[in-house]
Amino acid sequence: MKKSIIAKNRNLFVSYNISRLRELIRYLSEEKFDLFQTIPFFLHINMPGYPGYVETEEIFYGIYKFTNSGFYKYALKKFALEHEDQNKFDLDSPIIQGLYLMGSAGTLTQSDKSDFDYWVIIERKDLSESGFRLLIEKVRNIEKWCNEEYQQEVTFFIMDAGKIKENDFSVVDSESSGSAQKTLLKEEFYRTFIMLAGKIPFWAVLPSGISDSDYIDLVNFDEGETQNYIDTGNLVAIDPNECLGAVLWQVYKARNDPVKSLIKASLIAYYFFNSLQEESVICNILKDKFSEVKIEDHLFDPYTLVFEKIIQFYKEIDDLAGLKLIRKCILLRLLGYPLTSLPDLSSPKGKLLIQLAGEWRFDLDSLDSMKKFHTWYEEEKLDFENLVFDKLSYIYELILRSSDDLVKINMKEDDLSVLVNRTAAFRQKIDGKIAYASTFLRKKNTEIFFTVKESVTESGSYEWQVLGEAFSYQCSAKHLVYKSHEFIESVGWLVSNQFVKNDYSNVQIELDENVNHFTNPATSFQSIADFFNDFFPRPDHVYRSTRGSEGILFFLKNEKFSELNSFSSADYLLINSWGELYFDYIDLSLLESVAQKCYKIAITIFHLLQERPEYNFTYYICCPENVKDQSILSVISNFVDKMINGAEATEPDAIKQTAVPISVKKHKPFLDIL
Amino acid sequence: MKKETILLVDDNTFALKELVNILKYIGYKELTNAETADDAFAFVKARPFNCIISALEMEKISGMDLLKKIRDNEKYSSLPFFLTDSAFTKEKIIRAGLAGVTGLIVTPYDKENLTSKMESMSKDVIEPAFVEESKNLSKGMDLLEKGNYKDAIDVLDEVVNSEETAEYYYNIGYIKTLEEKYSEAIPAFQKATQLDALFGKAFEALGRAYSALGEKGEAEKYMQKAADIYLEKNKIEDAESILNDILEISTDSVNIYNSLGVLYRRKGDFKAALKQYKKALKIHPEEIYILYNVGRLYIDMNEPDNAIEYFEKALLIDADFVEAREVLDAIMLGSI
Repeated sequence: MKKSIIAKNRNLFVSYNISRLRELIRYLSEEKFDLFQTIPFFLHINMPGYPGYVETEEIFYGIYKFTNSGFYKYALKKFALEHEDQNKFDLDSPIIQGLYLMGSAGTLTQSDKSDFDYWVIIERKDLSESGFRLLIEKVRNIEKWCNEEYQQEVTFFIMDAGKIKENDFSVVDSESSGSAQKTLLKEEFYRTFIMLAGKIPFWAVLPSGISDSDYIDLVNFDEGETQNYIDTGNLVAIDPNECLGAVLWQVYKARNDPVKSLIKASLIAYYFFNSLQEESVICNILKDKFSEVKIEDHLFDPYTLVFEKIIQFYKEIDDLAGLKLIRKCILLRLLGYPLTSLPDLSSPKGKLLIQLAGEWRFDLDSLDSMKKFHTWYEEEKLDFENLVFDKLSYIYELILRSSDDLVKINMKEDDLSVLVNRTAAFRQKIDGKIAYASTFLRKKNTEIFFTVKESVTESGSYEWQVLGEAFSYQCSAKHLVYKSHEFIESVGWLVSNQFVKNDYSNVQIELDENVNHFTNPATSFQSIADFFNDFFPRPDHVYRSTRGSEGILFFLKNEKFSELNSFSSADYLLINSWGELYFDYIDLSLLESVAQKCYKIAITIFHLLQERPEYNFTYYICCPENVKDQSILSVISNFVDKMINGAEATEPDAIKQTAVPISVKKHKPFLDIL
Repeated sequence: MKKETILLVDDNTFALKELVNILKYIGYKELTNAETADDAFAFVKARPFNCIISALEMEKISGMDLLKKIRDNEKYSSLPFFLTDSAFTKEKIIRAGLAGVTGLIVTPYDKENLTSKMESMSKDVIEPAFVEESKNLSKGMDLLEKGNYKDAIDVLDEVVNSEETAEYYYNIGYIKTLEEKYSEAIPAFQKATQLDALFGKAFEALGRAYSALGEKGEAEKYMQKAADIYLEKNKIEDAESILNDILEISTDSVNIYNSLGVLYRRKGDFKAALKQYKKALKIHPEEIYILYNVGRLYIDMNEPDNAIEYFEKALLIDADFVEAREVLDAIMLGSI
């Protein structure tokens, strides 16, 4: 009886899995599809000359019954392996129990840029410590090879079946996503996984929504073939206590893709407010539909169900603005935000797009505008993304305030600090802080060429415009992406967003020929970029403590263009340990001598040095080429040295100046990111 | 594959892509896209085209202005030029007619309608709708010039204010059908379908009117179109009824059997679907779309081995049949 239930459900699952694979293939180029078909083979073997090879005699690889799979047949053909070789691929004790693809692959949210995230499930207790280390080495080698040869991001998450069963995903947690997510992560796994090779999770072939005791009863049936399934545990309901931490994680992740994060956070909120209803668990709803699933039908996509539920959530809380925003986010997600393009309208993705746009009364023009997201002004993109960030914060607060007890986020304190402080560094608005660019510009595979151009405004003043030109995308026209009245503020925007390549080849400086500069911006640019590039990227550990200043760069200027023999102000960029960059300036116009001006700059540096004496603090001065070897730099550094050594550095003027504390003091960190 | 080169102009890339998809589907591969009228005119000067299809409403220069610019040049006076719009008012129709448009295409696009428009492009036919309106306009202007203001206003009012909904023309056709005046009903139904390209009932009535006149070919064409619309809108019962009626008059029933197969598959009646597909395959055993549909049905029936057989057959006939190749790959990789 149990055997027949499982056999029938197995067939339904296999058909469903085929329909998911069919969608996956639709969005892969021929080259990427070839790679996709080949990767499982590299996990099954350890042979010299094949990617992932690790020199050892130890058996630490192999996938359960891999030679039954289509991937094996493909590999035999591709690598023209001889028939006699084939026996050696039948391993007695393969280490990998199951290989699954997770996330957006094979769903409506997949695009040609999607990563391949594999879950490699093993029985950790069956693998020695050295074998485990070798397996890790092997998968990292394959990841590297995929990236180098195919420019495809591939990640293998090695998981322990026993731990998954207990909802412990600590092995997968390479990004500290948190022990906060247990049932939520299991739900995502069951909802999105595509079975590639190995054992089928019992969950997939057992009736939907069964109790834990029925589950155990069915899993322990003894009618043969149980060895072809893997017990990764039942899932009856989502634990609401996980939701706050999970939303916080999405708030943090939003800096990379706010639209995706808002959709995920909305789903978490849906679960939080429906946690008492067992029938709310989407993976179980999807499993119920396995018998109805038809190939090429968008209505059975895991994300179609997610979209339905989050729309339901916004309607339930009567948040009309939220409803409007989430609908827009869903359509943008289907269009591939931030690198949007129109899908084939006859594909399931295209059909869902048209269906949802029609139901939600988005006309063709609105859709067209979303499809052309890359042509939006940078300001429009940021306005939209800020709305999304605000909604994410709202969801966080909603869950926080709706919790009866004092909610605890089940996460290590250090991890929590990193998460909160990284988010604060990205989102917190503080006077003088240089803001981050839109997700579109920051997307790592967007090749953008920047021009920093000195221009006269309508009011006659000068400004430094940053124009962006995305060659690798469909917008070859130059778009204004940032502007400031000060040169180093514009360059600061480029460096704080990590846009400047090491060889500076993607940035050009255009000066107005009619303007004389005390310090030449074009020649200073590389020094500025070099100085700040050393501070990026910021490692996690710096976010475990409060922020503190780490470096300052001065750019000496003279506002009176006719008198270029001295400088009247010092613009500066200050960087702190969290990678935040601040722009400010010191007005030196009332000081008469160069020495006085140097003293003032020196005392500013000294204050910053004193602030965190245990850390390195560096400074740099951009000034004209012809004076670099002369007085200014040596005078300033002499003053600083004297101050550090405790010698009295006398201010070189009868009128004693009180060192004006620069805005560093007001940049003290505060953690209230929401 | 058709050899005609067609220039497509629309600043709405979404609509433009939809048009490209449909034209490719009906066999036109030589397509050039322009997102502005300026670009379009530059293309026309640079190389010859057999036809232009342009959106009427565009942000910078309208399709109407492009049409005038094209017609101003003696060289392009007879180049087929179609305008597209979601709502052709009388005024737009008159203006387009006066400017020398070849035909009007109502959006959203529709395969049948586009096919017939494209086929008409070499026939130099001006659509009756704006011929009639242009006549009325000229008549009104003549009366104005002669000082007969009252009659002129009446005629022009008629031009501007007359009813223009698809439903209105459908009702006229319906009344004429009741009076068994099928020849008069047909233009009314045609007008209704021009105004609403997804008006299934009007297509069905048009087909039935032709059927009453004994014109089986036309009758089948429009009834099939109605069935497709019903299927698209998931009106399964309506589609089933009309498809069974077509079978009685049809000369080539492959499409009907195929549509019935699709219909039963959607209803979940897989056995009935298979029966219909197999009837279609008896007539055209090498029709790859039907082979594909059978394969797809077998997947829904959880019979992947049978599905493989049909996808492989389709690929033997056309090795470049991408959809069949991809589904076959998915089945192969999905074998656990």
